[in-house]
Formats: sequence, C-alpha cells, structure tokens
Amino acid sequence: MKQEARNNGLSRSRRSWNNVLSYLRQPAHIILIVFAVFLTLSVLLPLLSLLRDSLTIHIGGEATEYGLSVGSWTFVHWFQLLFNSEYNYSIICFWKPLLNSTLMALVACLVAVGFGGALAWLVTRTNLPFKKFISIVFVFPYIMPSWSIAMFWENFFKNSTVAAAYNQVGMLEAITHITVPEWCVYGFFPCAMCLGIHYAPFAYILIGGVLRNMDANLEEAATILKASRFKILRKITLPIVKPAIVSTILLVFASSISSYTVPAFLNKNGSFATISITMTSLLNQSTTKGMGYALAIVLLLLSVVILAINSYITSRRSSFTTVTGKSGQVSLINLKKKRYVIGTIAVIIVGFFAIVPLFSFAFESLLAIPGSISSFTWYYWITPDQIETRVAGDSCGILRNATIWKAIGGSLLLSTIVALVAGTSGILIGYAVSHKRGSRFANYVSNLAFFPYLIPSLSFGAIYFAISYMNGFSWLHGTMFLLIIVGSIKFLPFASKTGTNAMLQVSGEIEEAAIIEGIPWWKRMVRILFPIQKSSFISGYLLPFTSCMRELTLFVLIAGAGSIITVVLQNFEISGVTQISNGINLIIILIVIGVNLLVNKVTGASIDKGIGG
Amino acid sequence: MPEIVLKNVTKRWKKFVGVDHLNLSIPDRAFITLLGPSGCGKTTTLRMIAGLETPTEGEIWIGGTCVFDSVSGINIPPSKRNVGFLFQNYALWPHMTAYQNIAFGLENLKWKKNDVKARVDELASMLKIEQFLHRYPSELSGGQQQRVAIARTLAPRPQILFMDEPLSNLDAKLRLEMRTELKRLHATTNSTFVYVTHDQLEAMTLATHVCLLKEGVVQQYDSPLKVYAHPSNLFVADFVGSPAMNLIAAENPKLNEDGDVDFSLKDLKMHFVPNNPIEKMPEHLTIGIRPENIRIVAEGKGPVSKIYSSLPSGMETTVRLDLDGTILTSVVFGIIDFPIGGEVPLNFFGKGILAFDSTTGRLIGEGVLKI
Amino acid sequence: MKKIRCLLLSAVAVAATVGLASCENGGDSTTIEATIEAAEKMSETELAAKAVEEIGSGKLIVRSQTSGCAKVLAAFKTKYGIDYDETAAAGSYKDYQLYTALDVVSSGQYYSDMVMIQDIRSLKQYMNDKILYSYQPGDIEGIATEDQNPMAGIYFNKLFMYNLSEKNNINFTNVWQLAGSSSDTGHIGHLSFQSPSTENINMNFLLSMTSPSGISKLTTAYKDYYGADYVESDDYANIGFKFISEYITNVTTFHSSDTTAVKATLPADTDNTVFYCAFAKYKDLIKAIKTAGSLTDEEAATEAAKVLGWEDQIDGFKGFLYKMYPMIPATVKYPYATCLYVRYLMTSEGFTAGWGGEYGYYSANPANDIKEGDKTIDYWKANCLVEDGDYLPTVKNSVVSFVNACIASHS
Repeated sequence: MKQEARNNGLSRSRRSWNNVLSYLRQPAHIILIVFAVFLTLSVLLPLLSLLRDSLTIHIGGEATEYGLSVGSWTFVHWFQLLFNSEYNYSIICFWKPLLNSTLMALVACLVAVGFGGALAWLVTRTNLPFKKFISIVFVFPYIMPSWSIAMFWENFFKNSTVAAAYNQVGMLEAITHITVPEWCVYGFFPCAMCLGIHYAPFAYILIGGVLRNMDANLEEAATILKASRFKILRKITLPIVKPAIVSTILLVFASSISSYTVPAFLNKNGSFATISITMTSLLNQSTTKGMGYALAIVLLLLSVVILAINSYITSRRSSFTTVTGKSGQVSLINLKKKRYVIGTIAVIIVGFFAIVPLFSFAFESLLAIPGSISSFTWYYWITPDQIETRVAGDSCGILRNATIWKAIGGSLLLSTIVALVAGTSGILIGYAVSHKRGSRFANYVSNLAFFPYLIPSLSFGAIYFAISYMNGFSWLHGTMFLLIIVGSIKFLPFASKTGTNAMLQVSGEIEEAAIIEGIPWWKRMVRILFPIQKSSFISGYLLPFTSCMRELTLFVLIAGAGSIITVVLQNFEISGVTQISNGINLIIILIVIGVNLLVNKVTGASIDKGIGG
Repeated sequence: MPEIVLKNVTKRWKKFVGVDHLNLSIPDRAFITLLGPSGCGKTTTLRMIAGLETPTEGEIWIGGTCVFDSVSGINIPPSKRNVGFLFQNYALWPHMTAYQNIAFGLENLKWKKNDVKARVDELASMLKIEQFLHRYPSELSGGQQQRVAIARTLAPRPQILFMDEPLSNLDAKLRLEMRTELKRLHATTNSTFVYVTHDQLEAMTLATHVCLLKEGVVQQYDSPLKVYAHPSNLFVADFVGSPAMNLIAAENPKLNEDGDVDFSLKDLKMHFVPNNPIEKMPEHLTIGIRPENIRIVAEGKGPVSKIYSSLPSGMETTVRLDLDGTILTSVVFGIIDFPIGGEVPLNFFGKGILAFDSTTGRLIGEGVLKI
Repeated sequence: MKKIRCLLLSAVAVAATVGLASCENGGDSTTIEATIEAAEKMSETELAAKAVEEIGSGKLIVRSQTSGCAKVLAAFKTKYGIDYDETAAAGSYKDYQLYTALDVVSSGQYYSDMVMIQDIRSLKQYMNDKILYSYQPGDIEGIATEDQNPMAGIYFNKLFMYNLSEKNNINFTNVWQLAGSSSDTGHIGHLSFQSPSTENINMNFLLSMTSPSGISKLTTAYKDYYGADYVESDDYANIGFKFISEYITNVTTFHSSDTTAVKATLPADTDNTVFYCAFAKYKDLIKAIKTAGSLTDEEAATEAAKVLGWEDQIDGFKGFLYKMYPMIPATVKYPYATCLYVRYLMTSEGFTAGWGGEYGYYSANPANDIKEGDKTIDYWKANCLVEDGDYLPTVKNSVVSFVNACIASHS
C-alpha cells in the first residue's frame, strides 16, 4: 500500500514510459542516441572486421606459407609481426619502423604546434604587421597534398653532394650555392618537417581560436601582478590553451604516424622505414596480408592511447569555460621596433612553404622536360592531342579536357556534401557532448566520433569496399553515395572536435536565456549558438571540405574511374604525364583557396578570419 | 607617497571619443570613485591610469613620476607602475586553485615560500575564505570568487588599487557587506583606491571624492556630500541621490529686483529665494527639489496632493504625490504606509532647493522655495 | 535509462557479428571449370555464336592494370558486337587493389568478368584457392608451354639502362658489375632501383635470384667475371642470396617512379648511373623529347635512341621478364563472352589494337608484331631472368625477410 502511494498510483511501466519520454525530450539525448547507433555500426563494425582479418588466414598464399587452411583462426600473423627473429624480421619490419614513425610523428607535432601556435599567438595577441597576408596564406600547406610538400622539399634541398638524388642541383644550391647534407634531404628530418608544416595550419586554427576567445583580463591580471611576458605565456596563456594544444597534438600525431606518401617520397636513400610503408607493403603482398592488418591494429592502438590521454586531461577538475558572453577588448602587446623584423621573418617562412610550391607546380606543368627551363611550353594545358592514350578518358590539354573538368565537378560535389554532413554532425555532437559533459554516454559518442580518424585511410576504404560487395549492400557499389558515406565518417572527427571545442567555450547561460523565452531547440541552434561561434563552426565545415578535395588513399578503391579528380591525378601521375598531374594539383589547390575566399566574402567568417587578421 | 595626476588625457578610437581631455588630480590615500552611466569612459580611464590602455593624448603622473606622455613617448608598462587591479569579472585563473591565484603575485616578487603562505593565510582569514583555498574558481560561488580576487589584488600590498565595478556581480546583501569590508580595507591598508561604478549609492558611501563622468567629460569632482548638496549641473543632480531629485520646469519665470524668482507651477504660484542673487535670468528654468525637502504637512499648511504610490521599506517610505498633474517624490521616515488615492497636503522645506538653467544644465542658484 | 541504452547497444553488436559471420559462402567452382574447358575446345565461330547468345544485351566488365584493354574492348565491340562497361574498363588498377577486390569472389560475389593482372606469386595462390581461372584458346598456335596455364597475355620487361651521353663511359658486360665491391674492375657504383616494398615486381625480381634459373645464370656469370667458380659460404644459403645482398647494398637511389626515372632523370644523368626500369617507358622518353623540341615522331625517336642505352650484351641477364595475365574470376557472369575476348586479345588484330607498336610490349603469340627496332620475345626469354611461375609461389616469407633485412642495413 505504501509503495503504491509513493508512486502516485502509477504502475511501473507507466513510470518507465514517463522516464523515457522525459529523457527523449532533451535534444542532447536524442542526438547522442542517434549518433551512438550510427557510429557504432559504421565505425566499430569495420574495426571488428579489421581485428578479425588480423586473426584469420586469407586467400592468396598464407595457407601455403603457414600450412593452415583458409579462414581458420590463428595468432600466427601477430606472432610473425612481433616476434619473428629470422633475419631480425620483426625488428626490421615492425619495431624499428614503429620507433621511427613515433619519433617522426612527435617531431612533426612539435613543429606544427610550435610554429602554428606561435603564429597564432603573434596574430591574436600582438601588433604584428602583415596579419592579413599571414592569416590567409598560412592555410595553404594544409590544402596541398602532403606529398607535394615533400616533392617541393626534395626539389629545393637536393644538391650535387647528395648521391641518392643523382647529384642533381636543387633550387637552394642553384640560387645560393649552399649545399646541405643528405640527412637534410631524405629521411627522418625532412619527413618530420614536411608533416609538421603540412599540419601547422591545424594548430594555428585550433590554438588561435581559443586565444581569440580567451578573456583578455586573465593575462592583464597577471601583468599587473608583475609577471614577465614570458611568465604570463608559460603560467597563464599556455595552461588555458592547453586543451587546444592537446587536441592538435592528437590530430597531428594520428595523421603523421599513418602518413604514407611523405615517407615513401622522401626515402630515396632507403634509410628511413616507417610503419606506414611497412604496412602498405605487407598488405600488398598476398602472403603477408594478415600481418598488414595486425599492423593496422597496432597503429590504431597507438592513437587510442593518445585519445585516452586526451580524455583524461579534459575531464579533470581544472577544465573550464572561457567565453562568458561578455566582450573584452584585447589590448595587443606592442612589439615596438622588433615587429617589422618578426613580421618579415614570419612572412618569409609562411610564404616560402605556402606560395613557392604553387609556383613550383605551375612551372612543372609548363616544362616538357622537368627541370629544364628551355623546354617551356603551353602544350600540356591547351593541346587538343590525346597526350597519353594509356590514361582512361580524355588526355588532351588540361583546359580542354572533359574528363578532368567532370572529375573536378565530381570532387566538388562530393566534398561539399561531405562537408555539410560532417560539419553539421560535428556541431550536433559538440552540442550534445558539451551539455552532457562527463556522462559516460557522451564520452562514448565523443570518442567514437573521433575513431574514424585513427583508422588508416587505406584500411578504411578497403573495408567499405568489401562491405559494398556484401549481400544487400551491392547497390552501394561504385556510387557517389558510398563515397559520401565513407568521406563523411572519415572526416567527422575534425568537425566533431571543433564543434565540441566551440560548444565547450560557450557558457550555458547563453542558451538558458533562450530556453527561458521558450525558443525551440533548432531556433536556438541556428539563431543564437551558431552565430556566436560562427567562425569555429565554419572551420568545422571548411576542414572536411579541404581534406576531402585532396584525399586519394581513402577513395581510390571505391571511386569509379574519373569520378573524382584525385584519382584522375593519380592516373596521369602513374602514366608519367607529370606535367598534367602538376597542373591538376595546382587547380585543386586554387579551387580550395577560392572556396575559402568565397566563404569569407559571403559569411564574413572563414578559417583565417576566425582567428582575426 | 603617490598622488595621481591626469592632464588632458584623451582616448579616441578612429572617430569615437571615449575620454575627452580629462583633467584629474587624485590625492594620496584618497578613495576616488569614477561614477557615471554605461559608456561614459570610466573603465577606459581606469585602464589608462593602470597602463592597460594607451591614451591617444595627454600625460599621466603617478607619485611625481611621469608614467605616460604622448608628446615625449613615455609609456611605462603596467607591471612597472606598482598598482593593483581588480577586474569586474574577477579574472581568476581557472586552472589554478584559490591559493595559487593569490600566491601568484607574491611568487613573482620572489618572496620566500613561508612568507607567501603567511601572507595568503592572513588575507584568507581577513576575507573569510580560509576553507576555500584549495578549490578551483569554478567550484566557488560569486561572492567567494570575488573575495579571492580581492585577496589576490591585495597580496603584494600595492600603493594604488584600481577596482572595476567589483561588486556588480553580487547579490544585494553581499554587496552591502563587501562595501563595508572595502571601506575598512581602505582605512587599514593606507592605499589609494580608485573605484569605478555606475551605482551612485556605492560611490557616495565609499568615496572620499567622487568623479562624475558623462560621455568622456568630467561633470563634477568633489566630495560625495558636496556632490549631493551642490551638484554643478542637471546631470549630476539627477544622477546622484536615491530616490532621484524632483526636477520641475518652472513656468513663466520672472526675475525680481532683489534677485528672487517668481514662477508658476500650473495653478500654484511659487517663489524662489536664492542665497546669492541671480544675475541673469535664463530663458528656461528648472527647479530641483530633493525628496527629503518635500514633506507631508498638517491640513491647511500647504497645497493638497493625491497619493500616487507608496513604497514602504521599513525604515522609511517613498511616497509619490500627484500635485495637480505634477508627480513629486517624497521620503517619509518611520514605519508608515499611505493608501493610494488618499489626499495629503505637502510643502517645501530646507535651504537646499536648486535652480538650474534648463538649456545649459548649469546650477545657477540655491536657496529656499516658498509657495 | 542506462539499462535501455545497454540493451540497445548489445543488440546492435550482436546483429553486427551475425551479419559479419554470415558473409562467408563459397562460389560454385566446378561449373566454371567445365565451361572454360568447353570453350577451349570450340572454334572461333562457335565460340562467337555462343558468346553473343550468352551476353544478349548485357555488358562485359573487364578490369585491367593496363589501359590497353579498353582499346581492345572497343575493337572487340566493333568486330563481334558485344558491349562492355566503359567505366570499369576505363579504370587502371594497381595489382594489390585488384587482389583485394578479388577477395569478395570467395564469398560468391560477382566482381568482374575478366581481370588483367600481374604478379605470378600471388596469382598462383589465387588459382589454387579457386578464385581465378585461366583460358587457353585452343586454335592459336605457337604459344609456348611456359606461357600456358596461366596463359600469358602480355610480356613486359625491366632492363638495366643508362644514359649514352659522352660524359658517361659505362662498360656494362656482366651482371656482377652491379654487385661485388668497388675494388672489382668495372664495378658500377651508381644504381637506381625502385624499392621492392613499393613495387611487387621488383620484389619478384630479387626473389627470382634464388630460383633455379636465377642460380644457374648467376653462377655462369660469376665464373666469367671473377674467373673462378663460386664457392658456397656460410654467409649465404646460395649464390642468389649473395647477389641480392650485394646488389641492394650497391643501390644509390630507391627511385619512386620508373616513368620519371626514364623520362627525366636518365637523360640528365652524367654519373654513370645504371637504372633498372620498365622498358615500356621508352615511349615516354620519346614523347618527352618530341614535346620539348617540337620534333616529328621520327626525329624524336632518333634523338631518343641517342640517349637511351639498352642494347648491351650482358652476361647473366639484361633484366627481368614478367607477364600480365588475363584471368577469369570464379563468379564470372558471361564466361563464353569473356573467353572470346581473351582469345581476341591474343590474336594479332586484338593485340595490336591494345599494345601494338610500342617498345616493351610483347605477346606470347609469336605471330603478333613487335615494335620495329625492338627485339623478339625469344630474344628476351634468352637474355633476361624470367618470372618463374613454378618457383615463385613456393618462396617462403623468410626470403622476403632477407630482402627486407638487406634494405634495412642499407644506409
């Protein structure tokens, strides 16, 4: 009797139903549920499949090699990978490349955060000149495919003392007669540098975003208390910016460690083996596929460890909001006379890595014999001849080439849709996670949304390729829809991270003010939350767009011929028509830059404007 | 012992003038409030003296040293001006505990660890935040955060303390408590306090001098009671005092030979006798009457008015009286309430009735008002 | 709420595992074998009739590593009226991409009617696992036994080449000049070779050193070069391992693309560098010279011949000969049409349409023409190390480990 009275006379099922209803009434909960289901299916399943592949015998020679039947479960791949001492196989194929890759990724993180972060601080906190130029141009190295930066590095630094470069004279030697040693041209150092430069814009955007929104009073209070500028940086600014730095390191590390094209390109003297090269060669040989999958899992685990560290750091007591809705006037640090010196150095470095490669591509597309200025010609841009019949589709001059332009259209369509899907999902997830911060459900969705980034592109594409052949999924095969799904999932992590960071910075009161007034959820998102953090959110759209436009490895297995431009680029590159591939490279970069500028004009916010220039 | 002098300090952003040719002299150990409505330039002025903002023109001197001069290009950074600054939103570093926040300034001055701990504990007990020292700012309430911020600012014993509306985020009771604390702190620490607020009551109760600003221009710079009793213009008169001064437009003002002014208020004929004769009669005249100078009298001692509203607060009651269409505010002491619509006679008392030129707003006379 | 959430997620996980597990069902292999055997016995007209009847209005899907197949398909369509999927034919795939894709065949999925694929080491495994089948056109004569089962579609060769410019004075007569040490006479100090970790064919080349024919050629050349017989040593299991080790140590540059190496790096080289590249890239060199100097085809060819040195007589072997195979997956939809197509590309008409008239492309059918100025396939078979389809699939991973170890100790 008492129990009934306490329950207000409601039966147990009625109460549960009420609980469910009130649970679902919060938009944050609905978002979490939807994404939890979707992401579990589209991310965890491929992971499980990857795990399964590392534990079974595959077709194509493993059966003969190990004397086991196809499809049987075994640990032999793991054993071979980790503990094979014949000719030091495991050390050569696994442990040493693992060490190499980890160090390379760490140094790349250092370069990216150091350079990108320093520049973000200079642009947001001081009266550095040339800010507009730096902000706009600094994003270029990210837009370029990473191998083109590597190619540029080699062309610049190779010189007559480097035998592995056939003693060819590169740009630096040609202009200044300075020759650098071989370790500066091939191997660990150039790989780390190229990756660091390629990902420095990440750091610039993430760290600059936090700096821009940080309450200026925090640093002023420290100034009044007689802290030197260096001390303020160290004890105040850096700790507050730390979450953004940690996010950046996470992203850069995961990308760098699985980067394939850069080490493959800058390894002409054979001295630097990375885990990505090993993984690719293991996957390509049919007798070692299982080991390749095992290696992919190891790569994943590495990144998972960092993800866990990141979770730990951001859930501690000392985390906080920094945007309270009160606008603060930022008084810029006056660099006085040094400002022009520092400004010029910044411009030179940024311009060197951002603009000079563009000229390099343009040049290469205009020279019939690479490297020889005397063979300048417009041929590869305007000729109606079919230059290379081995290439599928049109192979006449770029400007007339229907295949190229159709593929560009395909890429634009793909990238736009992927950006919209990933970006919006990122904002929604960010909203839900920031509202339910600390709850295990939110942590689960947040971590799951980040996972696709850690799965190597090649494996991810291969898994979805296999899925598209499964019973019931064959309608996916070869369609743009499949590309959109794969792209959206793979690039969701960027958007989700920026969305979460942006939402975490907005204090709850801002939305609560709107809730009190009875404004419905979607209107709150669109009219209030989105405009406040517009610049951060727009980055959440532009980043997937940019990544998608220049992505090849992810799509190469599942894209139909000529459907996207990067596949067409690869075709020309393989067939040796490097002039056209360089020209296409240039066009892709110019398109993405153009879109950036267009978004800037229309919405007033863009990747660079979001940090103030 | 520092004295602060501002000469012709101006702050311009492109075309917008935030502070316009400000001249101010703050004596040593004063408690100055910069008072004014939002956007009048008080925070900007504060920040300029502290060195957080650079003036476009002018000179600033602290303790005989020139810390800023636009002509000769001197601009001493804030860390070298030996001041303390309390921010409106406290600016506590969210990644440090309360203890670490307070100790930060002392560590910069290279104090020994024991000295730092002693000082922090001293301040903590003074401000009653001992049990919060190991919490992070996000774990503290507004009032607790505010006290931590005060402790942090006071820790290095600055000679000059700047405060930017530090009490505006607190509830009324806490605000009153903290006002008392601040006034006591001023007495015990012997420092100069420069305090920005838009709350005139705060300014009046705390300061030794009040500087009223409107749109970047100083309206009056005097002790609080002087500002209250002898406002230099309409703006000051209206801004200071709660409830606000009654301002009535005098109809048909006429200047008599002996310097008195006759005017009418609807049907009533009024006579204003200034203490010093008024030289020239302005075209339009405004008479200012403080609420305490309007009293409800016995029957027959004055014109009858209707009770428009009555707000008893326990100690006193604020009554609004409708005198033939003109609404006047009066204050009555005592535990008393009035029915709305009731009729009571009123009259004017006191020698502090003010007359202003309606056009320029300037005070032109002070005296007695008779009906 | 927690309980509901947990239930939901576990349901998803279970469904997923069940879904994954249900993906393994084998294809039906016996009928394909029978069909192909029947097709092998038919004459051209019979096969053509059966093919046309079988495909009806369907489209043939052919996926190839070389774009020549698309050209052959076009000519095939004109001749027999059989349509083909242009998108699939237009793609050019890498070998591992095709092999990965072919895995779906094991679960009974249809992928393609024909794949033109290389790398015999993997191919034999896929044949053993009954994923890929080979078709021999019964009425084409002259195809050597070693080119049958699997039937070789195209022969390619990778040769040791160098720049003929006056600044270079390479006297290349024995393959051991690329190994040994710098104290040997005639030692070639500069060698450019694409890394085996990124190019499977180069891995096969190195593995072939340990094949029976590799060992015999190396032994003979060793005798000619050093004047004494090779003595077995404890360091190396056989002479093939010795050559691999010394050869890799001798590599100066692991270039990333054969095409760039032949087209751009080789013509500019003055360091006596020997390049190991696909001979088929010769035409890219000619084209580059043609565009640069705005020459006619003949002029460009003459100029190119002055640059590229490849005709030396080298003891041991001049390079590596490998094949690309037209294979039929087990889940083929139109087996007869596919067989007809394979037959067509083995004929002169078909082969010429796809790959005729270029350096470095050879057919197993001796009736098919080669480029004028090139050597015949028999010449290459005699002078190159040939991809051994019986030996390579038996090579254990330990030899691959050895190769990787050599590369790792290279610095």
